[in-house]
Amino acid sequence: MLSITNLHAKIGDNEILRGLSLELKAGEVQALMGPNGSGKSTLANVLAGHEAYEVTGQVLFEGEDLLAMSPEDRAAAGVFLAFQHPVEIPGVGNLYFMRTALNSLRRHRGLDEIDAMDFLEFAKEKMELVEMDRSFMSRSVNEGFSGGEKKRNEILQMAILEPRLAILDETDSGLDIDALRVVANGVNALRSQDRAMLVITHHQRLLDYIVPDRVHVMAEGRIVRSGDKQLARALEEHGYVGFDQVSLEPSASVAAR
Amino acid sequence: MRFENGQKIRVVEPEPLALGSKSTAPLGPLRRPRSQFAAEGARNHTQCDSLLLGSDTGAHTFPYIEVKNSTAQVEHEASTSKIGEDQLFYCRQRGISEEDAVSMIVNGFCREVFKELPMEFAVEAQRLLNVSLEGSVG
Repeated sequence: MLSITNLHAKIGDNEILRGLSLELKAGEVQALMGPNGSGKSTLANVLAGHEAYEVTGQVLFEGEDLLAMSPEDRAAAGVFLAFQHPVEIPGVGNLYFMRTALNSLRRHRGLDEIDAMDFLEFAKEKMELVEMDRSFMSRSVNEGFSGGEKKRNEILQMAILEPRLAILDETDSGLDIDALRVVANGVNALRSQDRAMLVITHHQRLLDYIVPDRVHVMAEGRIVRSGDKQLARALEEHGYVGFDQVSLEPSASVAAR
Repeated sequence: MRFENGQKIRVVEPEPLALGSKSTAPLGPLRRPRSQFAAEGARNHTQCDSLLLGSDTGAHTFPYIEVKNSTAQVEHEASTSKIGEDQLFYCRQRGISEEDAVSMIVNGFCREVFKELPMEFAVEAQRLLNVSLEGSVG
């Protein structure tokens, strides 16, 4: 579904992604871990089409050249990013925002727009998934939301927009254990055979709830190690020590322990 | 009172009032204080929030307030913000076109004021807003 080959991204002279390659198939959930500054969020932003970066390399999404598409076209193609820091949009109702987004996607795909009443029913159902109160419907987008509420709101949007590829950028950061469980349940409910997910996280903890098919470790702008979920556990025990030099071989210091 | 591009003026005026506010030069004060001398304990708060749409735009606020009764309490507050690249990117990531996103963000910004207006003014203000937004993205 997603095929990234030798991806480079920089801002000015600062090269952040340095030849990253990754394959993600439909139905898979892959986790991407790595220390601060290793380029995880940059990858998420580049995939979503953020224009701050100078990007080279190849990214194919279902055979299409993703890098050539505008952010909204990528969304229409089925790419969704759960933001690390969801923005506030004062005065714009949360439910209205989501209906506008869904209808934009539907228009793009040649489907009829969904009317306000039908959408309300649809949204109520999805809100139960992330245990969100009705009051969130009429509040402005993310305005005055707590950190946990913002993250739940991202998962709600994912549930409503039903993407083909979901990228979750540190959706677990700043969550207490209850909120983490709610978010993870929401994500698990959305796992499906025709959807792929890339879960970016610092902590193995999230991966206890969202069990990945594969785990990658990033350092200095590329993937330096890949493995199954055991790799995340090894990281939790030993930290990222030994992963900081760029090497495609398993790092000696971790392997030796 | 006058709305200029991308500006929101919110006036909280429990009566009796002494009001004088003007935003962006160069036309001079738009409203002069009335009942200047009789208004004992007048209270006024004027807020002028500007939202910049383009990269070459600016906003300047020159509050002009005349107070002729020393018991009056008058406040003026102004802020200027720009439509955030982050807000636009967020909307576009959800599939909303750039033009629709700008319109949505601006409408949200103005909503707090519009909802205070009588229906016929609100409709008119909305129409003016839509006209002024056309072609502002590019």
